[in-house]
Amino acid sequence: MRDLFYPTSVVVIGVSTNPTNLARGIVFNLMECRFKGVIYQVGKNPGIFAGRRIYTSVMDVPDQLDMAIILTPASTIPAILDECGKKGIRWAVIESGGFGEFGEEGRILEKQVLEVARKWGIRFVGPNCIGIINMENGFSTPFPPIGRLVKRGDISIITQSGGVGISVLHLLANEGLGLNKFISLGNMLDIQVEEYLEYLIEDPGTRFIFLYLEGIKNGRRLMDVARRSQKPIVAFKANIGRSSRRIASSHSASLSSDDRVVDAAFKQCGIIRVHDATTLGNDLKILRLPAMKGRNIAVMSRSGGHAVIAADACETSGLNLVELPRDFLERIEAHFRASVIKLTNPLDLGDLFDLEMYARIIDETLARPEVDGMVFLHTFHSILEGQASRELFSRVIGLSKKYDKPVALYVSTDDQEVSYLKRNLDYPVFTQVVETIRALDLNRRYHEQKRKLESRRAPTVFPVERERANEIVDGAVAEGRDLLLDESLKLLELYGMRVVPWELASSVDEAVRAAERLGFPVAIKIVAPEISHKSDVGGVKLNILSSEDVAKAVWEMEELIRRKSPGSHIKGFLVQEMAKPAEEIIIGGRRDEQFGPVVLVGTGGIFVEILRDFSLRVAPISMDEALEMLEELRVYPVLVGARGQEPLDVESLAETICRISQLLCEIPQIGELDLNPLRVYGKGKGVLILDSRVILSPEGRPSLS
Amino acid sequence: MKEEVTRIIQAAKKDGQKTLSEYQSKKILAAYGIPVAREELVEELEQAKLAAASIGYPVVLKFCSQQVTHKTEKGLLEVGIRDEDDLVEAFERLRLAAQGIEGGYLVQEMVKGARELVIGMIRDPQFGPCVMFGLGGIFTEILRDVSFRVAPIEKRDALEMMEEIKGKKILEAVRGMPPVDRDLLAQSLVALGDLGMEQEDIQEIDVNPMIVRGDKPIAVDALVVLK
Repeated sequence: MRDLFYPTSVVVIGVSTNPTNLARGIVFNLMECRFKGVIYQVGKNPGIFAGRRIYTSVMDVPDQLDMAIILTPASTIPAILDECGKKGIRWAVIESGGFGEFGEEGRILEKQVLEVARKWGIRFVGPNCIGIINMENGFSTPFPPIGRLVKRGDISIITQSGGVGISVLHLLANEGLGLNKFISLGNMLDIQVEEYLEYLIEDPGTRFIFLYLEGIKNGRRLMDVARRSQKPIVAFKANIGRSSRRIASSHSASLSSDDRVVDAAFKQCGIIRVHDATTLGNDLKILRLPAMKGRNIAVMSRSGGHAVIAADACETSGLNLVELPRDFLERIEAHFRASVIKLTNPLDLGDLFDLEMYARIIDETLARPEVDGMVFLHTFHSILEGQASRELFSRVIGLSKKYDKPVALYVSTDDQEVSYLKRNLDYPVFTQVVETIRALDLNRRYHEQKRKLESRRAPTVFPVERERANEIVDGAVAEGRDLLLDESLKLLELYGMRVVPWELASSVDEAVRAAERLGFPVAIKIVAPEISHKSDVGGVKLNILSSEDVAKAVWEMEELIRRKSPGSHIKGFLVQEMAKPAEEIIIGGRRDEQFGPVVLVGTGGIFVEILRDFSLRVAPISMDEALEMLEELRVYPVLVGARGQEPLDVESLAETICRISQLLCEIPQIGELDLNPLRVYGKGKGVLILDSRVILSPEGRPSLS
Repeated sequence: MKEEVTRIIQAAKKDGQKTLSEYQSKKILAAYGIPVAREELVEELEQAKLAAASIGYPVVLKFCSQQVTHKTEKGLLEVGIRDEDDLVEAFERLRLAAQGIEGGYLVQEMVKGARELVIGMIRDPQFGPCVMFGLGGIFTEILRDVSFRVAPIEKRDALEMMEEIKGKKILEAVRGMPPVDRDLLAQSLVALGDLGMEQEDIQEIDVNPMIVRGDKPIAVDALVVLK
């Protein structure tokens, strides 16, 4: 892969003497970026551009070539690539459009291009892209004549849109950040995003990676690669509206939109997801600072107002204004001109004009073990204090390094000075108070997440009766239908989960006897393959108190089904104990096209889809992750005993999520499932599943798909 | 009717009450046109039996005292009383649990509905009386999904408040239930604002829960805090 970024002799194919010719832009960029290699040009007609000869075929180039950059009409690509192969070229950037994005004809062309590439062992970028930029050797292939718009640095970019990629380059330039490598993915006909990512993770010149993605083809592989990265990966995943057109039969499927799965997957592999390009610059900047290892922050401000705003921002973010000891604060107060301000955190230094003192205070504050990081809000006039402020900043940068703690610098001064600082400080500078705090919290969350991932235990594999479970599923597959209620409940029991005691009865007599064995009150639920929404057709009766009422309920139900859905084959009546009331939770999962099995847990009961309070993970998951999922729920305070109530059995709940995760991973025919509701009782008293639905995947149900 | 409100409040103040009992609180709501659960305050079992028979089973039995605010935790609430036998048992349990507390027994119709709302009035130190609307249960207590307006409010303010709630879909036709009667709900919210404006002695009103029976929100429990 290194050869792709470090070629020594390249040919640009598609160059002409016509001033509107696009490929000329590629040559221009290579020259502007002072490409450390030889550039050749090939075009349909001979000529001269930029003092170089335009050959009419790569075969005519009197040199060995490493790389071809091609921008010619799509239909000409297979033949051109074939010639490149003949010439011994093994790497190419195909920038031309008009392939898969262009319909059937384009897709045929794509197949031809791939065949030719495979024949010669050529690996290529694109098509439909602007290719590669490597700031280390000046290799820059975009056709828009962007020149050298950004300095060399340590951030590398992988982007699915050339246009967005270029605007990110502008953003880096404006923020004084430097680029290392840039890859415009295009249609990813050959080289996939994960391969570039793998390379950048190993690449010594890259310290930070930014991804712009509009679609994900192989989610699991992306996660595997990202997990190995010690470098922060920031991703902007756009195009969230286009969910695959699946029909959701369960709550789980309808809640777990593709985008929520992306959120979960990124979290699980340590990718930082940004949703808004306006914060991107700050996100990239803050990660350059040392890790914020805890929530305790000290804010130092020259203006009382900024201090108030910063304190508010700390409250809304996850940061905590640490209490500083009185004697420490008094020592600082001693330096004030007039002792009008009583210091607290935020440290309001409006009364202190000696910038030298600022550095000393920052030094002492960072030295305190309870302080995890600082924000320094500095307001100054560049004419009066410009030089002194620059010196102060460089001391602050040194202190941040010395203590290995982040100090986020906010400056409020004139434009010129801000832009001078951004370009010359080699340390991020922020210009919005609230954003500074938000970004610092992002730094903390990133490192916390990374630590969690590193200490992650392997998913527990519970001993289960997998074979008997498979028999149930295979039986349904053979009949081309989803699991019936009794089968679903049985399946869960075989996987070690606790279901409210039940019996399946096929007659009134059996139902009555079952109810007497189970004990009153009971619930009765219809079991029929044609009826998936039992309660809609009157197929559920709760709180039945006597044998007589059981008999009556069964008769009525039979009658009702006969009228409302004639042709239903009633398999039987599920007689079930009534579970004691308790907090209701939903657990479920589905098989995602890109990421495979995913599990979710959320507030259950009848308002599942209105509340939409749930948490999602790509399976398999460990107990730690299951507990983490619960912590993310808005209902979590209730689970651990809000309002002086009994804490609930969170461990049993987490274990149930893990068992569902295992079930989904081990039985691929299951497409989606819901346990809803599931009731959670007090600590040590476990959970009980009241109802469930198990739906087979289209692959698991060939007769219906 | 408003004289009735003044009378209740004045009497309570005279007795040194800081809060009104549930029964008194709901009397005040009813006087301002807020639909409340049918109920009778009784002192002994025989009266309770008569009250339950006239309200119709199932009923709820609560111990009603201005000294007690959290009835559920203290075992002073019995729900789902299906017949007179149940009532006798429930009455006895409550009598034991309430020993030493001054108050009466409230026999109340059981308002059934899966949807719970919370409405209220608070007196803000800067802005004076404000009306609150939220969805009950965890929506209000955990999610803080509530909307406020400075009183007095008009119907259109009340309707706007309903639109500001994240879980507002609950007010629509969901799970086979009809859409909530928003006009009626708005009327109750406007009334709470008026209560705050007109009754200077009231510090705070908490109507929780307001249960939606069919499409009608009905105040099931309420607490009026005096200044």
